[in-house]
Amino acid sequence: MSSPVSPSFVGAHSPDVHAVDIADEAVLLHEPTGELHLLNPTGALVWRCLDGRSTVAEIAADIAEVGGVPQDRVVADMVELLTELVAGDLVVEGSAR
Amino acid sequence: MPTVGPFAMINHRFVVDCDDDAVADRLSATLGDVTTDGGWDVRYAVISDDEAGWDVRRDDVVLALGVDVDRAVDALCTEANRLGVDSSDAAGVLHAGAVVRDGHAVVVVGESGVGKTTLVTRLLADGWGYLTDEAVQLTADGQVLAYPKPLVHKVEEEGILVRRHTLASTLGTLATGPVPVAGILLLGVDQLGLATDTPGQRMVALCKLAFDVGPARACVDVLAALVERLDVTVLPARPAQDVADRAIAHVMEAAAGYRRGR
Repeated sequence: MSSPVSPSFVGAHSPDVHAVDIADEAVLLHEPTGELHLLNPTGALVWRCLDGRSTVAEIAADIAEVGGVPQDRVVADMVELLTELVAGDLVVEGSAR
Repeated sequence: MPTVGPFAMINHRFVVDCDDDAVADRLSATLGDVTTDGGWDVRYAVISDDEAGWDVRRDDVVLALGVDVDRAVDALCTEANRLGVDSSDAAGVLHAGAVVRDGHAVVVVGESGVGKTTLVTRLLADGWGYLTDEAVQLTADGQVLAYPKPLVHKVEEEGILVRRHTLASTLGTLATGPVPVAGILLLGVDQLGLATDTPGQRMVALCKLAFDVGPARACVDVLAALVERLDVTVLPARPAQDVADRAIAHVMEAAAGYRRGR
C-alpha cells in the first residue's frame, strides 16, 4: 500500500499517543502497545506543528522560513518522518481547512 | 506461635507467624526499622521444617522450602517487595539501589548484574545510609520511596563466592519515607543497546528499566519530569571505584547547586 503522506497530507496526533517534551526532544508513548518513540529536535518540532489542519507543505514553508533551509528539502524530510509516524499509528490523517 | 510485626512496606503491611523464637527475633531485628502500628494486609509464616530448615509461606503459597534463616528472611523480604511493587498504582518504580547522605539520595539504576549492589555496599562502607538495593519509587517532584530489604551481596571467601546478608538495622540511617533525590546513576545501559547521549535517550532508557506497574502514561510523565530536573549520569556496568566516586561527587554538587539556586 502506498504511503498516504504527500505535501498535501494533513497530519494530526493519534489519540492513542501520549507525548512529553524533554528539552527540545519529544518522547511518544503509543499507549495500546506501550512502545516508546523518541523524536530528535527536528522531529519534535514537526510533531508540535501537527495541528490537524495544516498541510505538510504549509508547515514546511514555515519551518523553512524560520530555519533558512530550502522548502523542498523540509517537505521531503517531513514526508519521510510522517510516513514512519503514520505506519506506527502515532499520526493520523486530519481534516484540511 | 509468636507473631512479629506489623511491618510497613510501600503499599501494604504484613505480619509474620514464626514457630521459632530465634527466627522471630531475627525478623524483628532485620525489619525493626519498618515496624509500624495498627492493621495489616498480608500474613506470612516462617515454619520450622524439622532438620531441613525453614519454610516460608503466604497463605497456601510456598515461597521457600527448607532454607536457612538468611534465605528465609530474604525470601520473605523479596516477596513483600514484589507484592508492594505489584500492588502499586504509582508510576516510576525502578529496580534500583539507593543510598542517602546529608538528607539526599543517590539512586543507582540498572538491570541485574551491572554492579548496583556492589556499588551500594561500597558506599555504605564509606558512611552513606542505606535505603534499598531492591526497588525504588520515584515521584515527579524528585523524591524517592525505598522498598527496603536486607542487603544481600556476594563476597569471596577462600576462593568461593558467599552470599552475605547485612541486616537493615545495622546499615546506619534507614529511611523509608520520601527522601529528595540528588541524582540518578544509570549503570550498564550500553549492554542493552540503548543510546544515552541526550536527555530524551536517557529518559527512554529509564522507562525501559521501570517495572511494568501503574499506568505507562504516568510513568512517562514522572520520569520525564525527573530527567528535566535531576542529574542523570550514565556509567558502564561495574564501574571502577574512581569513576563512580567522581560521578557521585558530581551528582551531589549538582544537587547542592540546584538547592542554592531555588
